[in-house]
Amino acid sequence: MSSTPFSPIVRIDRDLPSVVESDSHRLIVRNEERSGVISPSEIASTSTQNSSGNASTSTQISTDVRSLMLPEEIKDKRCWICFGEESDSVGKWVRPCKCSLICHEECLLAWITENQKSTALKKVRCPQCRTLYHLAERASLLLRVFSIVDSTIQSSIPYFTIFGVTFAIAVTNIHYGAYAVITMVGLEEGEKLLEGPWSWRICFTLPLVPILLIFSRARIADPVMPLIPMLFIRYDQLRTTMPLNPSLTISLLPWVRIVYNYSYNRLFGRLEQSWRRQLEPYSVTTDSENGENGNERRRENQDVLDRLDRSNAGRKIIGALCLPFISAMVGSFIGRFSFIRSRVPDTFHRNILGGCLFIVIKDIMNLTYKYQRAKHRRSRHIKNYTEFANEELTSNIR
Amino acid sequence: MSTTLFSKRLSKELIDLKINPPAGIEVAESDTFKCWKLSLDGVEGTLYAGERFTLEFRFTPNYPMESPEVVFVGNIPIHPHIYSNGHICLNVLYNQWSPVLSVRSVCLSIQSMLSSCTTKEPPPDNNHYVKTAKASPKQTQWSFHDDSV
Repeated sequence: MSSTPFSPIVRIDRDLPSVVESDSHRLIVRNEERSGVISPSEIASTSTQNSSGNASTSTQISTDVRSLMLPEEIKDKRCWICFGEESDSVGKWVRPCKCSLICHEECLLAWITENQKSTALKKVRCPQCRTLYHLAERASLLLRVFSIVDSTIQSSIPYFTIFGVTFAIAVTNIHYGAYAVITMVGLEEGEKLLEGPWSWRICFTLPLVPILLIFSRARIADPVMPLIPMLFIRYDQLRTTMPLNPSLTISLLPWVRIVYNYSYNRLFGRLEQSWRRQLEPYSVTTDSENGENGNERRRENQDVLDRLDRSNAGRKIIGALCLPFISAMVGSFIGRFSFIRSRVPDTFHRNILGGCLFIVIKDIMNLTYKYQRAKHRRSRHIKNYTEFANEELTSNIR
Repeated sequence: MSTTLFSKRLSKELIDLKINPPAGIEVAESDTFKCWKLSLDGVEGTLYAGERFTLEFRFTPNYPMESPEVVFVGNIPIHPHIYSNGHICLNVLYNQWSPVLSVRSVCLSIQSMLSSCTTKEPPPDNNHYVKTAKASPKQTQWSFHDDSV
């Protein structure tokens, strides 16, 4: 079969730009009708059609016939990768698929290599007709195995990362937990507690120590906090003895915390809120405002306050993590007084007491500070220039 | 090899674009093979009729194996797939790129994307994207889900 009767199709191929150009408007209009984006590969494939002929038949003919032609038989070759033509480029021509695209072997090998950058032996297809490229190559079994191993490792990296980070956090948490336990119960008792093979209780509770300490500073965990110790306490530890069993003390702490927070808010909540509001610019008068506008304003203020709270996250976390060590310091300090020593003989309870004492003192100081700042703010007024002009003058003269 | 391939192909594309420019597309700046600017006119009878936009193409020496970086600069069209920093959400610019495409076909694709738009509105996640996006759109992990516009 000779190629002459079909040369018009080949020539249209060469004239690709002009066909696209004259057709571009029509393409867009047609595209609008079905409201879809036309992809460049579609443009390219449309351009291979004879503009006067029916679309599907002309593609069919060109596919059938051209599939019989070797690259050497095609006139006016143009590489779809480097755009080189027969006249201005060198290299072996190949025609690896059933559509009209032909190219240099070197160019296509480069494109396949580019595609296989991430995974060797990845299958590559013609971008226009989706034909799989067939390569004559020497791929040994070993290379195939390596390629599979390589792509498996590549895809499993994120899971390893997550696992590693989780593991690192767990180890850090366990260390912190163990250190906090030793600090709270004292070195001797602590070593006894953490000695030997750990029970599942220790394995689970130690990493929870820093997490629960941090959550004890936020309100979101309020409903579950008292329940967590219940998961780990043994039944026989629930008996009330004097002094209390340390486990029981620990599981009572969340309740103490709730009662303390509740009564603190009842007693000082409003007061604190009003002091804080006084420290907001322009917000002293909003309380007296009524109606929707006032509500809006108040909500805005609340937003500002919330934002301030959030910016304190770092401070809260560090504070929470320091609590065991501060408790132990206060605990050992109050242990110097003989009347406390006689009433609370064990280190652990003295330290717990120390922690509670610290929190109460800290809150009192905080309140005082806020009160002082609010008072200071209320007492302020701006001096008119005339009020201090004389002072300034005299001091300048001096 | 790749550098000669790169400059040879780009000079061919440039000559072709200058001799034979597609309707509404014109090379505005092409001093180097690193960065070209092309002007793109909105097609008559569409929402962008009478407007002129500028597309910036940035090529690496690995072009055409690697896709060019294409963004709108200056006057940025309001379109559901074009972010206000000029980044364009179009699959052929990223994972669907292949050397069979060219500056011309990319321009035509973008022109067609503009022409088939029915409402001028920015992408729904525009504010968030513009705040967090890197300078090059090729560093974004795009997900292509809407093939209607």
